[in-house]
Amino acid sequence: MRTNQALIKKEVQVIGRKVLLPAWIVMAMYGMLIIGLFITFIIPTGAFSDAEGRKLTLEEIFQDIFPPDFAKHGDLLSYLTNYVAANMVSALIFLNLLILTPNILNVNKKENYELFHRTQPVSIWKMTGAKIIAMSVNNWLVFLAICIFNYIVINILFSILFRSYFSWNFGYGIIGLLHLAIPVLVILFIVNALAALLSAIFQDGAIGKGVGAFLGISIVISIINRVQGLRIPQPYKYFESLINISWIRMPETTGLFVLPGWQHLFNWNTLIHILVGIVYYILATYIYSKREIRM
Amino acid sequence: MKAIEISRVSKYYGKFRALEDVSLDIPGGRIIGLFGKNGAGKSTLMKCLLGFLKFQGEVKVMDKPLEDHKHNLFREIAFIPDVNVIDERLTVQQTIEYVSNVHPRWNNLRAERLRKISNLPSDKKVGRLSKGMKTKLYLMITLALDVNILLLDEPTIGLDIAFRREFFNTILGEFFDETKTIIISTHQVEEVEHILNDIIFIDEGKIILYDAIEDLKNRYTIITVPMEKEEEFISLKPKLVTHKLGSISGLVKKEATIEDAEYRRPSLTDLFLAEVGGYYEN
Repeated sequence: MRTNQALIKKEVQVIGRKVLLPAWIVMAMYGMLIIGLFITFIIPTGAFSDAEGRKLTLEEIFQDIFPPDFAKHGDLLSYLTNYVAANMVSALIFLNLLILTPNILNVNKKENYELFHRTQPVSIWKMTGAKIIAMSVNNWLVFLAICIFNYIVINILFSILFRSYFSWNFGYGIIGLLHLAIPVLVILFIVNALAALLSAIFQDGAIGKGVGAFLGISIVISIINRVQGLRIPQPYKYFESLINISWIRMPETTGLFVLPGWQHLFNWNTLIHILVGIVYYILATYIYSKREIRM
Repeated sequence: MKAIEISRVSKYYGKFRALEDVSLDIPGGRIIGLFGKNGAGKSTLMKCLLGFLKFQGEVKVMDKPLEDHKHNLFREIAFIPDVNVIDERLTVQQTIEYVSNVHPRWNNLRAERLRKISNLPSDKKVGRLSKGMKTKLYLMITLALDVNILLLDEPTIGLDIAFRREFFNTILGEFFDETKTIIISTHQVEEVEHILNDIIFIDEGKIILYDAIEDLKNRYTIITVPMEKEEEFISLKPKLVTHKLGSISGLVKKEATIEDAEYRRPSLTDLFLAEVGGYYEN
């Protein structure tokens, strides 16, 4: 236990502040938003005025944006607002992951640290596992922290803005956030395990070579399918299935919207994805353990 | 108990033969110098002992085949390589904490003592330390481990002469006892000569000599004779022949005698040059 804690702690220390980049970007966006609002409302630009230059009321602005019966979809709005906001944050997190994760197993080799770490009496399975877990959980916690901050700001703001139409539902907002937060953790694990596998196979430029191999396989499958008239599934289908949001429909009531969300999270498909992630981890560690340490 | 048994180990890098049929039995409680020219195979041999390289042959550590140890091998062996390998993204304190938490043989008392001697700044990132400081940190965290075997590959690179002396004379002495084995590879032969029990000379991947240093020094002598006795001198088949003003000297078997000759006990450098880098002048 002590070893596991030390490994995770070390990995977190090694990742350092680089993981906070999405948080800085969100802060910058808030900053720009505040400046924008300031300019719009304080300085008369005419953006929220009618043709005669009269300032529009909030109700008039809403009438322009939303359909007349939008108040009956208040819960849905609360759910979707938080779901979409969390989606945007997840996009930032995954973009940052492209900077952090490439060569997840090769950084030590490139920088000569490998000998130091590999001369500790620690199982290589634990070392690789700690890297994947630390990278996934660390990023997820940053994602969650930003989402919670967004949740507080957005939901308080919207509950004030929409107060004359309906009572803003904070609960559905949290459900919307959780419906994305849970799959983001699973996808982070799978992506990091896959990155570990690629960096175990390719010692330099793992992501580039991995993408190259992916495209190569896709082209070969396309040619075979066309020439032989087969229907071999393309590898991109797998990635598509990771971010499958086909269960999102526009239902009449929010209850019908929320339940499929939970069902989508806790089903065989999710379990299979997690198992595939574990297979990536096992293969990555096995290949990595067979590598010579030359320097 | 043998600390290390190496049987017929060969290692190739592509077509280049780095080690050829190396066999050694290294007992516990010895300090051994591993010497050879650059590219002779010293580092490769050490990395084979650590299981970092694939090789032909067999290595046993503490009577157990290398493969059976897996990562637990590093409960028995610690290694200091000839380049800085400490993770530069961590601070000194984080590095010490990490090793103390993952290594079951961490000796807190010794670590504290070494920390005082090395005078390292705790909060500084390793990447910001000087080369000498990094070496000190590595020495500190390695010698704080109660391992049975210590492999040192040019361990004092970047250190000033005062700390090098302190390391070889005092710090290493505190670590060593009759249960431990230390293998040192260094080009600073004269700095370690006085602490060694045995020496191994390696050249072009082959072990050309493995002996107790005292026995070796007792078997040879440096003989210096006037030039007029050169013929008699050459008949002794000397190694490491050098000419000085009106005299000639070289390393010969101790039994060899020439009238009016001067005799001197050979140093380790003499023996090394005679075996590995010596030459014979006609």
